[in-house]
Amino acid sequence: MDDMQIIDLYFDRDEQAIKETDVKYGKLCFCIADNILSNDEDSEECVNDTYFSLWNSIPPTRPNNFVAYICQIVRNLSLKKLSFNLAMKRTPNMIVSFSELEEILPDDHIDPNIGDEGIGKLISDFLSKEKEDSRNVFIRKYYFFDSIRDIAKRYSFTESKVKNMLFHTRNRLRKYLKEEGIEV
Amino acid sequence: MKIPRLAIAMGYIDSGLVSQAIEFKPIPRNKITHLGRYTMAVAACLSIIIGFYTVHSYFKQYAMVKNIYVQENYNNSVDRCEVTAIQGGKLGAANNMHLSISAHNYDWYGSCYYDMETDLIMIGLTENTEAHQKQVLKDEQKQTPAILADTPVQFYTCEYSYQHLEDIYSSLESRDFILKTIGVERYYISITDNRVVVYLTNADCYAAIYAIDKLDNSNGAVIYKSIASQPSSDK
Repeated sequence: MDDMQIIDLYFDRDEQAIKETDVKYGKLCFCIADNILSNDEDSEECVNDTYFSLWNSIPPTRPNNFVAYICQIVRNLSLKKLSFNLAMKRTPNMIVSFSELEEILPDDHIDPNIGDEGIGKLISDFLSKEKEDSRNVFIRKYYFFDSIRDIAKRYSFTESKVKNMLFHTRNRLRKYLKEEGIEV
Repeated sequence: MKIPRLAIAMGYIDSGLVSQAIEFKPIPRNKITHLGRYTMAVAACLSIIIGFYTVHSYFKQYAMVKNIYVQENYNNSVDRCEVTAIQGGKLGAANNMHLSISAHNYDWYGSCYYDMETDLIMIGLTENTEAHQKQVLKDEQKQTPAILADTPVQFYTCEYSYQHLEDIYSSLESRDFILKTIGVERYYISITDNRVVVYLTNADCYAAIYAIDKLDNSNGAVIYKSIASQPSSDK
């Protein structure tokens, strides 16, 4: 079933919509959640919350890009859950990607007047100008939080090549964000 | 530990970029099958073999077109003969005379040797004129008068000047390592033949023949001989 048909099911308030979403994107959702939370139970819970969120938001929202919309929801929910876990000291294995992102531009160096959406737009502009390989590797790492090994396997690169691409993309992003005046 | 803002901001990147990252499938580089690798290895080997034979055939064809033949060197022992003390003296004297004449660097001087059969000192000149003969005799009456008094001299016309033969020899010497790798065993200037003699490891060293012929500018001043062992039937 294609995405438009699944969205139509949501609009018809047909519960089959959730089953079809689970069949098509359940694995992807679980992967994203598990990459962030490193906990099967929490990840499963996040996936279910994602379906619930989809059910509540469609309608009225009719997403143009259904898969990206689902990914954004599951990612946000997983990060919230992680934030909660961190606050409750229920920390899973530390996710190294966070420290790498913080190295690009620490939070206390970011202009507080610019919102997360604004920074997201700047990152989108930056990534649009990057080579396709580097861009996708960067998104797999810092959006989906895939491990280096998984990215290397997915794109048939060596692990050292992936590390190298990420290193250079981070450096270029740092320079770009500074040029755009994000840094305080 | 707080979740950094950049990690949260990444969640707001363009949805098109996210779906591209999901769908992106680069050309698999490591998915060359075992059969593919085997086929490529066989193809590479065949290319090398075909390439080798093509080049070898080209060199062989070149030698045939230029009428270059390799003399088999089976009968070395036949050339050896008894030399008397007097003949030995004259051989040495002729050699001294050759050294003396070649020191003048005449571009028309070819060779000088003692011919035991005729008991003459043979002097080869590329331009065998009376003037050149007189020049040689005049020089040698100063340098080696005793030899000239003892043995008659016969002038003859030869094809190549000693300078030209020396030039070829120097060219060979400067490329010694390469020539040895493609089958040249040794080489020297033969005064009696008025040629540079090149010994090849076998008669099929066409690459060596091609290379040397190019050095000689296809002039014919080189004789090729093979040091390949005598066939068992001839032993």
